[in-house]
Amino acid sequence: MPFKEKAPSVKAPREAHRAHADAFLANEDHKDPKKVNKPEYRDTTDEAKP
Amino acid sequence: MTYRPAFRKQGDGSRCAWTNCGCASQAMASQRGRRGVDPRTPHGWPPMPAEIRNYIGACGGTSLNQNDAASNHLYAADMAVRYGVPWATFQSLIISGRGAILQIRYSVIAPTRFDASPGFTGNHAVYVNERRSSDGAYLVYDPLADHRRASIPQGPQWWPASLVKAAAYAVPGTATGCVNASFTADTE
Repeated sequence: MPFKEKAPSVKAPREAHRAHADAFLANEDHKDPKKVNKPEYRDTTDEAKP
Repeated sequence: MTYRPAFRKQGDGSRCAWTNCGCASQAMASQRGRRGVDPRTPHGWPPMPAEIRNYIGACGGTSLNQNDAASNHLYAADMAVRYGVPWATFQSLIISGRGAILQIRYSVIAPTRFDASPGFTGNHAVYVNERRSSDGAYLVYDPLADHRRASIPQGPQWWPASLVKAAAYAVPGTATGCVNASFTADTE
């Protein structure tokens, strides 16, 4: 299931952000783009102009 | 103060330079992830885009996972690659003490003063080091920002949060309200 936990306010202590970050990173679904993105998503960059 | 890696440009004259945005962003992220400390692997230090490209192989665009694998092998710097990251969670990860390689769509940057590749509108990767609390801006290391012409920005720039968010949202196929990124270890 995609992660639904609400993020702390930007003014919250860093420890609150760390706890949120750790909870998010533990969610396996977000390691697989097919589980969370749309079918047309492409995980590659393009050639820039010099 | 948040650790800041050296800026690495992709247009360095090396092989595949103009498709090396992911490799250059990874070089900066790997240095951040290790806080500049050489892991003493058999490979070079500091991290460089060309070395990462040589590990990945053939020219062409690169993925977050390809660059993560190179970073692990060359510099013992592991990344957390995540897709469909809600914007507020991305913000939280940066505030918590991590840097990130962020996928963006350059068509959103093209009309702004941050455009470092006139005519380019495709998928791109930048390295985001930190968020400034006074105005919410992000310190973005765009590997194209090498001042090769007078009109092109040079080095890390503070991009408004609204611009970073819009450019990341615009990557085709990304879940609504989300971004795709690869996070360094928490170094702070």
